[in-house]
Amino acid sequence: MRLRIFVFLWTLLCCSASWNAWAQSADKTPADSLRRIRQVEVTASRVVSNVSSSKPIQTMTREEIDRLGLNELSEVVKRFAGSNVRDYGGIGGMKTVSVRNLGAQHTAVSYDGLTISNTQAGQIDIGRFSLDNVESVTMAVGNEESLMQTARHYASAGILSVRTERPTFGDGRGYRLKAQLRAGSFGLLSPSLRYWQKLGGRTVLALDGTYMRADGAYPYELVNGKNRTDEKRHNSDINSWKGEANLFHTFSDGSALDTKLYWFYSERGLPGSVVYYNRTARERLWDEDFFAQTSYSRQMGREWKLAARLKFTHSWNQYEDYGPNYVSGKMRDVNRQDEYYGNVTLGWLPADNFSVALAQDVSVNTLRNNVHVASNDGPSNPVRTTSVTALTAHWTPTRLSLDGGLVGTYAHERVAHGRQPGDKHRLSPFLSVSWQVPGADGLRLRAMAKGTFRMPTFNDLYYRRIGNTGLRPEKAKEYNLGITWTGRPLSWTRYLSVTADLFHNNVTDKIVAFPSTYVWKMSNFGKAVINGIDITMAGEAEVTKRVSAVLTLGYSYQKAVDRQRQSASYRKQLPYTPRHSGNISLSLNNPWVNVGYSIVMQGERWSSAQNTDTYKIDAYWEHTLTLSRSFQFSGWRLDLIGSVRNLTDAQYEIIKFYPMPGRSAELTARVTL
Amino acid sequence: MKMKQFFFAALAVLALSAGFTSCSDDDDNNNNPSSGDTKDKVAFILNEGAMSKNNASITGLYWADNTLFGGECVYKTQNQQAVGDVGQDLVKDGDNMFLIVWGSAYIAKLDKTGKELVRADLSQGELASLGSPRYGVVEGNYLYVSCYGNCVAKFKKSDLSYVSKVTVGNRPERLIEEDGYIYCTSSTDESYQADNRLAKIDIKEFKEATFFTPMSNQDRIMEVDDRVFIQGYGDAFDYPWGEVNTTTGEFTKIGNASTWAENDDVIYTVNSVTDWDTYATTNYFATYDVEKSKYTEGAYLKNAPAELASTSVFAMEFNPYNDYLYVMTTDFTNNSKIYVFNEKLEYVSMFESTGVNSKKIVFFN
Repeated sequence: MRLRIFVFLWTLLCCSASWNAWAQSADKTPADSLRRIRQVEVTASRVVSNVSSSKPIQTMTREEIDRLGLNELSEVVKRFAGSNVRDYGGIGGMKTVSVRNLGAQHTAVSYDGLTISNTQAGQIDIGRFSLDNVESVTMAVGNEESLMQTARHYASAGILSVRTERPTFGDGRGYRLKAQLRAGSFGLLSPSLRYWQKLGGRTVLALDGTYMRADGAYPYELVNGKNRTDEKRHNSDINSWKGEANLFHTFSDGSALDTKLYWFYSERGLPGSVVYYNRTARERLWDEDFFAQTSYSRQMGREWKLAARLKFTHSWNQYEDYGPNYVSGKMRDVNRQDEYYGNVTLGWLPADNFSVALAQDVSVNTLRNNVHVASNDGPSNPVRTTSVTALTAHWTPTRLSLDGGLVGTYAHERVAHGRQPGDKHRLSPFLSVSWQVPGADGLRLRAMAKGTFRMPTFNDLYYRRIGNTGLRPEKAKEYNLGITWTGRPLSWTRYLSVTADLFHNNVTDKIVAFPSTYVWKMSNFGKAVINGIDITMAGEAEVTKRVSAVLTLGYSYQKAVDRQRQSASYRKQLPYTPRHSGNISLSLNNPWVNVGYSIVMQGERWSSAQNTDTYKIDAYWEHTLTLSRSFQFSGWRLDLIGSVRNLTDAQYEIIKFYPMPGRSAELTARVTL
Repeated sequence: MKMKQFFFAALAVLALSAGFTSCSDDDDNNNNPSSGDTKDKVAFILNEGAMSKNNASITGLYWADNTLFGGECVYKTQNQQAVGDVGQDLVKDGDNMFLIVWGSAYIAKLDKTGKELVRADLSQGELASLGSPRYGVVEGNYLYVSCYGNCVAKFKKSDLSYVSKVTVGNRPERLIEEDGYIYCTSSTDESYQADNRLAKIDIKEFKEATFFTPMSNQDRIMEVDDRVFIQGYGDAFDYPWGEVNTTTGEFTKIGNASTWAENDDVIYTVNSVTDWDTYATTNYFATYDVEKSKYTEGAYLKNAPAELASTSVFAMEFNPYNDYLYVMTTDFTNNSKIYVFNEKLEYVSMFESTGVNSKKIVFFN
């Protein structure tokens, strides 16, 4: 295995080097492309992208992340309208995101332009991503607007994109250093270090390292009938290390080669769900994720663009539980996943207002574990080869912006033991349009329709006893109709933007664990319809010459109903789907102490498809207050950020019997050279 | 209103319990549900709930007219707290019951109003090594409980103090007492490798078990007319069942059944089979006359509602006082529907339990 990793990395590096050499020799035009890329990012501001796009796209930038004192990716996502984060509580608790309740498996997570895969579970634990080196986070319904995306980016119903900071050297220095220490309640301590170094005129090296530890033993109130007791979450500790190395090279013709090595390791306790009368919690989980990715982009003449990407991912996790319930005293599951991935995207821009792109992705995913499909079979050890092709076009005649495309997917699988599933192939179209209303500057109407599907995960297909190799892909259709407006209605407002989107989602052949007497089986049984509305508002006002206020607001209404006629939950609201959810944040920016205040709320929802009082989860409101100030010294800067989360000490759960932390405090000190 | 009914019922039960101890079975069998006098004929339905949801519960039932009492959970009403996670077994013993809760890992002694008298906590201390409790059987002054720590543990009935344990097969399930021995089934280990050992323990000595190997992945066991029958998932999860010769250990397969119940030396079985192409569940009914050793396939329920042919049957229980059969069904999401059949197995009525996955009924008279 190590040999294969080495060979792959070596190939990747050779690839980078040869590209480098080839491009250097071809370079004729000097240009500071690093600076140009930076300029592009600045223009993609939060407000503009959501208002002008033909699809609902929300972005939070570094500046706003700091203003609101957010340190986890999940905290950002909770502030996007239409997102649904399943948060199992605590620093080490799993957190998954679902766009408009289509399911976490329909929501891709992209890290610096390439999606993160987990073919085994199909969903990404976004709790593992810190925001230490993040530049922006974007959540798009459908897909993002960029022409040169990978085919995978078009294949999902929604995408969460994380962009890390790219090095900039504004003061003429050849390096920059950032050291940060984050400390807070429940034993949280997280030092991190970032170093940027210029290597010649066109190459930049960026190194990031973060360590994080926490006891996670937060108090909560347990309610059991008329009894209320003060308890603590046990076995919630976490230790994690993250390292990232980025090499950015810009060729003289403007083409660029970005290479990233990423490594994450963690050991954590799993407190599990709260079980009445039984505080036993001994489960442990170890995770290791490594990936190496390289992206090359090049403009070829006036009309052609090329982007090529390679990625290798290795994920390993080990789960252990201990106790007399196990014959050997211990339960141990080990999973190893590898992914070999390649992409080429070719863009053609024959006219100023028309572009076409063809993206081709090929990936090979493997899983090796010790989980037997049936008691008398060995582990299935599946290998899946997937081809995703996306042909997209973008046309922007006057007042109109049209996006359309077709995604073709083909997947082939083979297994070491057990039944081999059949090949899967499917075409998925999408179309979106945005129209600027004549005579009303800043007012746009938009519409989107997209068909997607998600492949059955390895767990769906092969998990012990309940796996079903006969599964078909789960299909989703999403429709969106929206109105957006942006303007400067009053002289003291810098901007004000409002979006309102009605949506209708339809999921068929939903993959669910179908209940049968004692032995359940994964099945294409479910059907869900989700109707709703997302409303966002953002505005900035000049309070005085030195004080400005930024207000953002998001609200979602969702009626997500099981529409499978034979289902036991027919016409019932899907579990963990609040009808009402929203957030509001206000920040006051001033020369003294910036103040950020945000509230995230979810209305009542049910933990079961049985929509009765027994399974009702109360609404919650979580308040966060953040104070921050920057001190500029000669040659270096100090940022201090202090936050109090859950200010009102609300006792609430997002997932039933996984209590969320009460009031907690956090202090971040950051020195930048 | 329900609280008031329950209060009076509890009072009546307490006040009349002494008098009823002298009643014979013959008297009980003459019971006529329509003749009134219902509040002293109580039953308790154990609803298993679903794992990690803390939604196990006990439904109170007046079995004479099949009306409910005690709110959503008799135990909660009586004790101001929930049963907990995964209600595994409810064992009748005279005027008391033993409640066994798997996820919450405790055994509790309840009186026949549902009030908890004493509890053994198997989640911590010395008893934690026993593992989570599964099923129980009462013999003499002791309660014997199968526990996931591969043992049958012995507790004093009076105060649930722990006495000792005997090692049995992997992940033991149900157990019975027959002719001075405890027989305990075993299922699989944590990797789902099936065990095929049936443990036999001499109650007098209670030191070690001897083993038969009748079938893989066992679950249920019952004694009828001094003969022992076991049922399980089997290697292929097709729920085989049959008879075990308790002298030689020889196993004779009789049929397939996902659950069963016995009355008057006849075993009534149902096999709920799901077709994974159509997702339709079909119930296959059969009977086995123990005395005649005669197996007969075919429906034995008369005028049964049509849905009962295709709804998963989670458990069945005969009321020993009037021979009525209670067929407990489940869709694994909503509260169980329970169908009642009279002593001639003619359909009487259906009522909804107050919890998910009703699995056992304990009757008092």
